[in-house]
Amino acid sequence: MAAIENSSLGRGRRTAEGAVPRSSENHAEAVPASSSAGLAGSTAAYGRAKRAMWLVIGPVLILLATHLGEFWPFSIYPMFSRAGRPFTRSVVRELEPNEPLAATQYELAGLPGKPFPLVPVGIAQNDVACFVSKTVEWTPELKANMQQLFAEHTQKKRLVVFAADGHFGEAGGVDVHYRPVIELSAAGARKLAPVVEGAAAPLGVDTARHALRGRPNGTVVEADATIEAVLEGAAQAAISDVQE
Amino acid sequence: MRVLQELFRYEQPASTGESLHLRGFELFVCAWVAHFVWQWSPEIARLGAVVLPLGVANWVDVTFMFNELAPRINAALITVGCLLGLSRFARPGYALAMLGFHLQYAARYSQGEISHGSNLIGTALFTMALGALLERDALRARRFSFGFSVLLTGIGYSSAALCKLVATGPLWVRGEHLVLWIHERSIDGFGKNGEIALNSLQELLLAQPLLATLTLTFGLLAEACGILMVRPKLRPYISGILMLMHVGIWMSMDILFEVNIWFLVVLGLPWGPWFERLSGRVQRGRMPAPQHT
Repeated sequence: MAAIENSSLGRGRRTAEGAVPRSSENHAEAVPASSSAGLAGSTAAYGRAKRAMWLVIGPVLILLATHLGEFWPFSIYPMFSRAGRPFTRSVVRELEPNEPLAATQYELAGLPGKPFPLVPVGIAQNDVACFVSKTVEWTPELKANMQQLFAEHTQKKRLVVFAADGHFGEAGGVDVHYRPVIELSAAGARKLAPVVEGAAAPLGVDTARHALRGRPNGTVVEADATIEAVLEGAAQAAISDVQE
Repeated sequence: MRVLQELFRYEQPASTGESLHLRGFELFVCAWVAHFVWQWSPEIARLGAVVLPLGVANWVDVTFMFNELAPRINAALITVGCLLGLSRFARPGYALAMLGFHLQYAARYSQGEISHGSNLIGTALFTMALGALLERDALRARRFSFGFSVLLTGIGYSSAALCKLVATGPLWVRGEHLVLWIHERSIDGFGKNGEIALNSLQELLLAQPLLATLTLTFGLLAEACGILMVRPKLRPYISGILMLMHVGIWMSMDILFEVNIWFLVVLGLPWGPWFERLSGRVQRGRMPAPQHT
C-alpha cells in the first residue's frame, strides 16, 4: 500500500515502497520512525505522553473526589448504580381555570386535567423532572425559574407540575403516586406540596426524611417552611442516578 | 510501556488508512461539539437560576449565560476554536474550544440533571487539546489524542460497572431493578408525550424477571470489560459489545445514547486497516494479470 509522505492529504507524494513513515506537518521531527533518530523521537514522545497523562489524571481524580464524582467532561459514571431505590419524576397537566385541585396524592387514573406533553413544546422532560426531584428549597428564584421554563404557555393556560413518586409495592409490583408540586399560571408560580410519607426524596436525605414521619398523609403545607427546612442542607448530596 | 505502545503506536509506520481514521475521528468530535453547543444555546437562554452547580459553576455564577446573546457568542468561539484546531492553524484552538464547551455545559446543565450524553465528546476534545499542545508533529498529536481517548473511554465504562458494584453490590443485576427503571422511564414517556406506552420488549421484561436479570448481567459485564479497549486486538469486539448494550438500553429503557454509539463506531472499529485492505484489493484488481508463457 502506497502511503502519502506528507500528512496533508491530497498534497502528499506517493512512494513506491509501501507504507512509509509520515513526516511532520510542521517539519519538527521529520524523520522516519524506523530510523534510530525516529526511534529516539518515539521514546521521547512516549515519555511526554506518560508525563502528560499522569499530570492530567492526578488533578482529574482530585476534582472527581471533591465534586461527587462529576466534573464534566470527567465522570465516574454513577448512572443507575443505586438499583431498587424509589424514584421521583414529573408530569405536567393542564387544568381548567376553575378545576379543583385536591391537596393529596393521586393515582394515574384520577389525575386532574389533561396531559400537557413536553415534546411538542420543546421543553426537556429531564429538566422538569430533575428540577422537581432535586429542588429542596423552593426559593422565589426557583419558582420564577420554573415559571420561566413555561413562560410561553402560562399566559393562557393553568399548568400544574406533578411529582411522580415510584417505589416497589407490597404486592411485588411498582406503585406510582402523583402529588401536585407547583402551579403555573398567568398569576405566577404557586408552590404546593402535600406531605406524603414514603415518597422519594432527593438521594442522600433518607435520614432527614425520618423527621417527617407521623405527619398525616395528604396534609398540604406551603412547603417553603416545612419539608424544605427539614431537608435543607441535603441538596448538595442530590447527585444521583442520572439520565442522558 | 507496552500499554503505551498499544495506545499511541508512535513507532509504527503511518498509512493513509490510519491518517484518514485519525482525521475522521477529529472531524467527528468537532462536528458533535458544534452540534451540542449550538443546540444548547436557545435552551440556556430559557433558564433563570442555578439549581445544581456543576463544574465551573461551583465557583463562577453562570447566570450571566442565561440570555439570548452570551451562549451564542460562546458557541461561536467554540466553533472557531475547533476550526483552528482542526486546520492546525493555531494549536491552542482545541484548548480554547474545550474551555468554552465546559462553560456551555455548566450553564446548560444547571437545572439538576446530570447529562452524560456529551461526556465522551468532551473527553475526546480534551485529549485533542492536550495532544495539540503536547506534540508539534501532527501525526503524533493525533495518535496521542486517539489513544488517550481510547484509554479514558475504557476507564469510563469500567468505572460505571464499578460504581454499580460499590453502590448496590452483585445483586445489582436483579431483574426487579430493571422493572423499576422501566416504570420510571414510562413516567418520563408520559411527561414527554402525554401517554404511557410500553414496547414489546419492555412488556416482555416486565413479565419475565429472569430475562431482565440476564439483561442486566450482560450490561454489567459489558461495562466491566470496557477497559479492555486498550488492547487493539480486542477493541472492535469490546466496542461491538458496548454498542449492543447501548441498543439494549435504548430498547428496554428508551434512553438513546446516540453519541456513545457513534463514538464507539468511530473509535472502536479498525477503520484504518479496513481501508488499507480495501485499497490493496482495488490496487491488485488494477494490476495487469501475470503473463504465463
